[in-house]
Amino acid sequence: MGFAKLKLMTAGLMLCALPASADAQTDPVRIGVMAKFAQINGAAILNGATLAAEEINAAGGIKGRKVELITYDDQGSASDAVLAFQRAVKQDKVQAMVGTFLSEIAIALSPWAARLKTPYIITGAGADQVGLLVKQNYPAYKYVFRSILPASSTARGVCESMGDIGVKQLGYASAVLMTEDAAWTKSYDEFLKTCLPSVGLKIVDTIKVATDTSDFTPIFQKIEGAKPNVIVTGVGIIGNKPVVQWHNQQVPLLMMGYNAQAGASAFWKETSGATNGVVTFTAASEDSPLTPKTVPFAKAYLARFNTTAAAHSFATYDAIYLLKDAIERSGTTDADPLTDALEKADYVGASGRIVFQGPDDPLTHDMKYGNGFVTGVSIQWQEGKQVTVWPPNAATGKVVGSPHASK
Amino acid sequence: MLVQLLISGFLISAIYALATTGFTLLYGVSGILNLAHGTTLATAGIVAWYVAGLTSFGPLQIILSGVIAGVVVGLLTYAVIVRPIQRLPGLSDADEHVFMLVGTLLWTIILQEALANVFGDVPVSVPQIVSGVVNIFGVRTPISSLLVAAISWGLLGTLWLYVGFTKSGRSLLAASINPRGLVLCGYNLASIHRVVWTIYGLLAGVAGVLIAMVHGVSPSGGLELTATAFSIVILGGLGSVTGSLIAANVIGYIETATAYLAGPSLRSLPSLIILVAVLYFRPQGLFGRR
Repeated sequence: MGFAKLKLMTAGLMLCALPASADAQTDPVRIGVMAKFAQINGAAILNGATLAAEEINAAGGIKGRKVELITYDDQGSASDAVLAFQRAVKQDKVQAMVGTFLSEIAIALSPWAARLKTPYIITGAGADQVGLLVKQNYPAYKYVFRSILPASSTARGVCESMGDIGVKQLGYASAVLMTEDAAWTKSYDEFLKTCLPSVGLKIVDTIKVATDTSDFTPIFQKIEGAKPNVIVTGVGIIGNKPVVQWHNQQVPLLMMGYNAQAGASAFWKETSGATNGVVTFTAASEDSPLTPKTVPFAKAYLARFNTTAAAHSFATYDAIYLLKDAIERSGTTDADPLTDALEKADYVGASGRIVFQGPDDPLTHDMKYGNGFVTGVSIQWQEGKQVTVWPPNAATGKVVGSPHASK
Repeated sequence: MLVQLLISGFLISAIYALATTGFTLLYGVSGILNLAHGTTLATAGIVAWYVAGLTSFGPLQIILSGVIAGVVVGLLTYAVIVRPIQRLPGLSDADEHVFMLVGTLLWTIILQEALANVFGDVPVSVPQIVSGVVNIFGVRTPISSLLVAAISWGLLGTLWLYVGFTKSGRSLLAASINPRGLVLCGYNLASIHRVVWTIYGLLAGVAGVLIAMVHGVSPSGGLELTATAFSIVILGGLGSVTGSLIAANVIGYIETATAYLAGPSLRSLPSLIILVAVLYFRPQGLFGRR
């Protein structure tokens, strides 16, 4: 009796197993997208992922499997993000996660990506700490990647662009460094403090601004008191207040550097045009063909969402395609082979040629930066338009001095 | 440096004064601490920003749209939260206070979520009334900020005239001193409350638009504005309009001086310390009656 029953059970199990393994080939690829979607940067992340998924599905999916995006709003809170990440993997069975704007959250999620063995591509948070964490805890943390430039690479881009357009084109010789008090600006500041002087820009003062500052008058007064030629910024979380008050008070110094919000076209509307003149480093811009994919992506994005793509849109769009590329090369969505394939990626995306740093490089699983890889661009807001002013080979216009200088 | 400090302090104090007067008036007349105050300000600012982006309206119409939003939110708060709680039978005064605090706190979260959903949780700013700056004793001052200060003080002056010299204004004053006596004289307390909430909405509306013009507002920034208003009102004395005007200036100048002399990131620290000291040594505030 026991034998007959066992046979039946085995047959039943086989019957159950057959459709399941067949399903694995037609089941959608489930990718989680996480950020605070009500904010510009979160919306940019979601839009970038959506556009990539729509394109991939329209073209027949990944090896015939559709891409299914599952969204998680982290509300800007690390504890919400950790819970959502666990739910995503255990309950919703996502095969990879992309997104995250705040570095504090990326740092909290990285150990979870390791514990739950889930590939996690960070597309918004910039603190160098993330790449260091992966390096120090390799191979446990090997599931964590990043398709947006880390703060020190952003700082390098800012520094090189300051040398080219600040020093050489506008003739600036001194600067005040104004950055927000957050995790990502530690490496950013550190890099700029040695780099800016090396390109000919003396730092006459460094000002750290609390992210909840409401009145910037004393800060601008202090900056002007130091008599620099330009303000080099590092702001992302603080929002539009420094830009609006800089405009209202007609501070006669250009704001250049990095401003996470100013990369999106909605910024003109949100600041009621106060951003005129602001220069920011960003992943790519709609009018500069960094790769053959840049301009088509930017145009499709504008048509689909009625706003221009921000740095985070480029990063997330590329992240979804990186996953597609890695799944196709490894032939699976299983975490370990997929991670190995991601590690070996050499993919030309919308923001440049993406090759990840290895376990022995300074920031493991961050993108390689520089000529031939990802460089980024600097844009300037000129009368409602973002004009690419750097690097020289991608520039579509010339940088202009402070709009308030003559007053 | 001193001139700079005086001017900056003056500009910020004028906004603080306007932003807290509605809050304190409401408490004085009807005994309600409206924790949705900051979000009411934010709503007015965000609606004005939205209207400015959609239309080619001039500054006056833009301010007006924000004021309408302020009044609507004020009256909604009264109708949806305050009035139903006041009508609850068998509620003791102490319980009613707690219910009011919880009710307005929940209301602020509802408003905040609604704003974030409709407009996005992003800081926005209203275009200035006029652009350009003037030099006052060597300090570059935005003309718009001076106008904002003028509007603030103008409005506060009007309020003072209204409360002191008109019949309906005097009935508000009476309601703040002895509501029961007023009812005995044949006044309808509910209609007085409606008037107060309308005036509150007006003040909050103007203040919200002006804050959005000078500093920018966001849905999630509402609670911070409530906290500022709260500290000013506690220092000035709950319910005392004069007290909160003076406290607004004290806090405005102390904050500005700290930002200039000790560093911008320490800005709010001394005023918080003063606040704790007030709670220890003079809990009724500088001019409080209760």
